[in-house]
Amino acid sequence: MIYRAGTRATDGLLKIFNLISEEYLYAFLALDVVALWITRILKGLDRGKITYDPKTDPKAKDMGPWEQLKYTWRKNIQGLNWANAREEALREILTGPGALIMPTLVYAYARNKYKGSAMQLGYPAMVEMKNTYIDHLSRSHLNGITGKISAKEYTRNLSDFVVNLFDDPHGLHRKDPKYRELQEMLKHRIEIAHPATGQTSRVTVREYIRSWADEWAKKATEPITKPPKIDGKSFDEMAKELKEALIHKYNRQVMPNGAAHSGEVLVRTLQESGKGGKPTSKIQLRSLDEVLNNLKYFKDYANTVYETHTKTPNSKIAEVAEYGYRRLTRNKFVFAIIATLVASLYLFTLPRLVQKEGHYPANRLYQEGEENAGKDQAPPKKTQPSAPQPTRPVNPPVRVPFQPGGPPPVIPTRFSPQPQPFIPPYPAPRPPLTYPPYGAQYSQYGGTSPW
Amino acid sequence: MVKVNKTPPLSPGAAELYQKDRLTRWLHPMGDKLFRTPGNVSRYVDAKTANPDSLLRRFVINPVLKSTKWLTNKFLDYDYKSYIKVGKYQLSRPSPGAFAMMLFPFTIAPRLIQAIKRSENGDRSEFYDILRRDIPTIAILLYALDPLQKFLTQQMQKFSGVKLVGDEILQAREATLNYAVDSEKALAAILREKGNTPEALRKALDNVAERWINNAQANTETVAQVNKLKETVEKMIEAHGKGKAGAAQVDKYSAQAFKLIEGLERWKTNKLAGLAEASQKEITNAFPSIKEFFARYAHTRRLPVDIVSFILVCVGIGWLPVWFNDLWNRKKFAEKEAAHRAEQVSNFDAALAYQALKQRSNLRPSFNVYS
Repeated sequence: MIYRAGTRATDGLLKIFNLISEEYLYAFLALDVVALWITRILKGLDRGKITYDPKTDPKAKDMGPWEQLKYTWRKNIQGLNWANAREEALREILTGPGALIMPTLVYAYARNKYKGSAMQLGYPAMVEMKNTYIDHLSRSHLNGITGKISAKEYTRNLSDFVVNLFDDPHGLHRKDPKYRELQEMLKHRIEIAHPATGQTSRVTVREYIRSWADEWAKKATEPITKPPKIDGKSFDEMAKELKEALIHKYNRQVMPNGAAHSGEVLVRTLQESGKGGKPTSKIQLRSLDEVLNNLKYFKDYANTVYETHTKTPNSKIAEVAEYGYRRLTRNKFVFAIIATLVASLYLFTLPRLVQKEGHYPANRLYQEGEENAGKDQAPPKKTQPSAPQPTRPVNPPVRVPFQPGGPPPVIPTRFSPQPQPFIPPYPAPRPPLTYPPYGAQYSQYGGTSPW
Repeated sequence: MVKVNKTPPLSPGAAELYQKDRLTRWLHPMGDKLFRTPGNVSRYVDAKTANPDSLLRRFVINPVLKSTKWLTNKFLDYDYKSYIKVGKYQLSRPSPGAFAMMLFPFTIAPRLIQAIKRSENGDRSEFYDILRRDIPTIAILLYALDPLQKFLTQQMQKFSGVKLVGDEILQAREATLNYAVDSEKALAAILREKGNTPEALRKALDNVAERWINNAQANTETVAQVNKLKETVEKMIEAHGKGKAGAAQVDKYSAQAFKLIEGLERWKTNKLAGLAEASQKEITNAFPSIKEFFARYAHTRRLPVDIVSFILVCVGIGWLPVWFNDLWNRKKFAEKEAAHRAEQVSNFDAALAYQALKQRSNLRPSFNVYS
């Protein structure tokens, strides 16, 4: 069985497919490579290929069997539709990744210009975080300060904000059924190893969150506090630690939410209900990964708020936070439009760059006839005045040889844009139907035309 | 739920900020409207379709509203919010709306224009090839993978007895986390989870236990421990069959099983200690993690679904449209060829008849027989 646990094949496949099924981008790229690049290039080679038959070639008759086999093989490779494959390859390879790379470049520029990644926060999450932050700021003493706020104080306040995401210090939600569950979690004692000494100590989840938030806020506000550089923990490492404490040491041990929701924790957020509705504070189960991801982008917004407030100290910080959010929305809007337009324009110009004019290589057998197929035909130059000549001989019109006076009548056919002189032999035998040369091309599908 | 008061009037500094920044004043409402539209439409539709009170609402209005919600989410969402780290770089995932905008009009239209430009003698075969090839491809690539995978996973869930789908498909890391036996309550929770069956638990443990027991490196004590674990899990399953009456026993056996698993994992860790990396890898492969036996089972049950859906989509978007186009063109040109030949034959026959007539009568005709 292919999917028996623990075998090497299963392990390898699991690694690949876990990535593909979890992240849409990987799925998109994998499908692009496997389904569009490989399949279409191979099919592009096959479509309109000229199959070589050594029996009909007098040149091959004198060859030995091995020589003939090699010759046939070479001829068959030459007969593949390389022009079509080249076109398919260029088109598909440049299209899929291009749709990802162009926005990536635009957002890299945006991050560089606006010193941070806050605009990468999804809009609903941004509104929610901003509402929660403004609510927090308007309740804090910082909002009453008209003057410069010290960076240390701001850092402390940011730490309070992170704690308040997981806690309800003002008791706003006492009547909420989840409030009790939240308090139980915060009171629960977990064993934590000291990062330096390695000694374990039992602390409540509330105490742990406080110490984690202090550390996080300190690191997050480094651009504004500008402390001397010390190699500390990265945000990813800190996120891992919080997950270890809240999920592995609390959720997994106490299992309050059942087996399928271990990654979720109770979080207090301000959500907006309905169109233009007022934000409403709620305690909700949220994926801790999502909360940490939001915090990762939010820190840049928080720093911008502080910097803006420093420039306009006679404003209230909650209002500056609202202004910062509006500015962020503006940037997000502008760069979303630019990213989409740049990628769209790139995709729009692509066919002109990679597809030759005057030639559809996939149908070359039908358009050129087998004898001419594969010979590179330059597109007609625009300076040439005459209409493009048909690339294969067309149905010859029948000219009636004798007409009293004037030119003889030409019987028009759909396939005869250019009348050609043709006089049937007299007495006229019925000509053999050897034209156009489709018989050979059907040989690859079993000798005769299926139609 | 706690209502929050509205923000009071602006302080002088903030008012000054707004006054100066015209661009924000002008663009913020537009951005706000654009980014909020999918959420607003979704909330509106969810509220309206929550309790259908009539057949008209149930079968006509609600489906229309739901499709509006789907269309809004797929075509008007321009919120770039998903990024993945590839080494140093952050690769941005365009939102569904941006993807639709890029791939439908801006990919298909230029290809069609190019096809018209290079068509010969009014031959529009490339034009129709593109329509047949690219519209289904992009639609499947953007919209079919998730529903297909969800449907197949639901079927696999019924077949395998492991919960693989909640509101969404259980992701690999979620399965690893939720189905790991890392506490006394974990095994009981796995058994009680709606969607998981006792048979699946039994099979999952058997898969791993078999490899521990049949391994030559395992000592008799370890084999005995594994057998004891199997017995304990069996007892737990039996107790679970009794319903509420057996709940306390399930918890008891779950704790016992956890202790056994901890012991086995400790034995494996001790065995690994001090070994070279290659030998460690060998032992790790020989004794698969018994703590994650159910997580592994869940992963491996989902694997065929992932493979099948991937292959189906590959065939659907990669091979099928191009194959169909080839077939279609061959058919069309064969038809043209047949018509052309028939015309050729009839022209020749007419000419021959005319010549025969002329030969017999030896008269010059004064009229054009073909006009």
